[in-house]
Amino acid sequence: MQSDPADAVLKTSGVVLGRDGRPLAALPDLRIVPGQMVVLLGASGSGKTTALMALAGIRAPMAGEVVVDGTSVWTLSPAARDRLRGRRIGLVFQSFHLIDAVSVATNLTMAAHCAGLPAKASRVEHLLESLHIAELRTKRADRISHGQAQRVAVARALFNKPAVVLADEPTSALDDASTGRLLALLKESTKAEGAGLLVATHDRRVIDAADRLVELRLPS
Amino acid sequence: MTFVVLAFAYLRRRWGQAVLSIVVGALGVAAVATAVSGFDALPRAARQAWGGVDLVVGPKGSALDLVLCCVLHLSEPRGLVSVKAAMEAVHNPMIRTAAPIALGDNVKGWRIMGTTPAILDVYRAAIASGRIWNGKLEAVLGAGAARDLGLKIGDSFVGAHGLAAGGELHDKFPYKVVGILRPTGSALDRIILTDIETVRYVHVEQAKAEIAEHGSTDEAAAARLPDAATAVVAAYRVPTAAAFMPRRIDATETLTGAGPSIEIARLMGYFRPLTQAVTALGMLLVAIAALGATVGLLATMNARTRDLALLRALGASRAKLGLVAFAEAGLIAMAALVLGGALTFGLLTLADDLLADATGMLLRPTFTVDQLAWLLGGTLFVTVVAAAFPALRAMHTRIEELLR
Repeated sequence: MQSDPADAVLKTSGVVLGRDGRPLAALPDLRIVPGQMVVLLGASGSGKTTALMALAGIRAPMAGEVVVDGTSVWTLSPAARDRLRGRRIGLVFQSFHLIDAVSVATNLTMAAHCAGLPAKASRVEHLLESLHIAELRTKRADRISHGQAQRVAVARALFNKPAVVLADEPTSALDDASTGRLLALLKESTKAEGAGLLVATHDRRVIDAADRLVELRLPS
Repeated sequence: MTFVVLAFAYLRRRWGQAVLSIVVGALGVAAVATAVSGFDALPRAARQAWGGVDLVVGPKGSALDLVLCCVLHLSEPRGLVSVKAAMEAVHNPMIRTAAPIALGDNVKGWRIMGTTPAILDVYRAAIASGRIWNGKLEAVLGAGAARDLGLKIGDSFVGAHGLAAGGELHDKFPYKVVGILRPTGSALDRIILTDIETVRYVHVEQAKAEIAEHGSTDEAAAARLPDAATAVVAAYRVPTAAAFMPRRIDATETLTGAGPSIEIARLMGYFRPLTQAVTALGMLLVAIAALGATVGLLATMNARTRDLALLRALGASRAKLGLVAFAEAGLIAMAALVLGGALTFGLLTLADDLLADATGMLLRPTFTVDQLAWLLGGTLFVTVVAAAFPALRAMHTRIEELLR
């Protein structure tokens, strides 16, 4: 993908990740532009999840800078970081984590409410339709299939029109066919929404779909 | 709004526990509200029932009995007084007006009261239709009595001996309705008024018949008293008379003076511990409901760590996470308040009907703005206390829980 790095929705420089006060891994400098899919590779326990936490403003890195949509994440107050995460970062988790007690539509609007944004019904319709799950609108989240839950999780991550979507091991429990479908879905939908995509995984099946690969390094 | 939807969905998932908290809370709210409102309404109902009567003078005995019998018309008379002695006792510049009353007969349970036209002045009552009596066996009916007995001007009826329905009929002495009073809201609405001489006439004539038939009887003995009456009721010219007149009359050898306001306040004083006990029980129920809600919320907050972490990941502030717990407790409290309000309404309506049937007094319970503010404020306080710990637990959820 040829894009001007100046348009990057996610930039990092010199990020060093730590655990229990000790350096764990170094994240190669990233530049992700809208529509681009970057895969962050690393073995289990190598620090991928820690890297995502640092990028999402959840856990501070030991060193370095993370810039999302032009804002340096770790210079913000905790409340402002929460706001930035809610509004500009979409998250997709390994087991999707829908709220079972409420409907699919409420799962989507929850993203807006958490971020303090208006939850537009038209946005719900648009996303559900574009992800081919419009019929699930009023279904409770615990009454849909695993494949449908994947789509709802992607829709929720995109609901607030994020600058970047961070996905944590989204394919680890999936067979090859499902992996392919999910990656295509993530890639197409983030591209359609004009967001960047970073997938953290140890699953080598993801590699082929990536625009760029990065791998965590041991800290120097 | 979504947080309220979420809270409602969570409640639906543990509906048994939620319903229990709501029902117990509602019972508590109803107990407190009914006790508070009922205790306020009862003296108000009595005050309305005693109308303009400030003082009642009767034979030596219980002042409360005298008020219950001759002012609220709830109990039986305990004896007779000399009208002359009683009227002299109230002959005072502090007394605006006074009238003797003679009880002893009824019409289907509605009391016939022999008196003088001054009674209208005492009660500040007025004739709605017809006129005041001006001869024997003419009657003026209180508005309620006329309505319930279905009597109108020109109709006739006969009285029966005693104050409860079912006594021996004085069928040789039919009364004629000559007037009907405007409603006063007082006990007078339930009374059939006639001239005091009529009551004496009926009883003297009945006594003569009984003596002729059976020899001397109680009725005959009573009828021999030339100016006997059950009591004298009076209205003060100045409120300060309440401080002097009852005591002054009590000091006489044969008379008791009773002020309805003092006696009813004393009577309500006897009820106060009961009201306090019911209020305390209500508060205990509310506390149990709140504790139940707290324990339930804490347990569910632990089970919902994943959901709460997700909300944090989606950008919800810690305060918003707390809001979920508050919304849940708030929904329980609101439901308890609504159900408690409905129960209170039902209980007070029932009490109103029962009291009206038994005494004719109208409870008409109401809530003051202060009482409503206390009720709502109290509910809010209990809700906040009940939700505080679960909310704190929710606020300290770590997003990392989600990414493990």
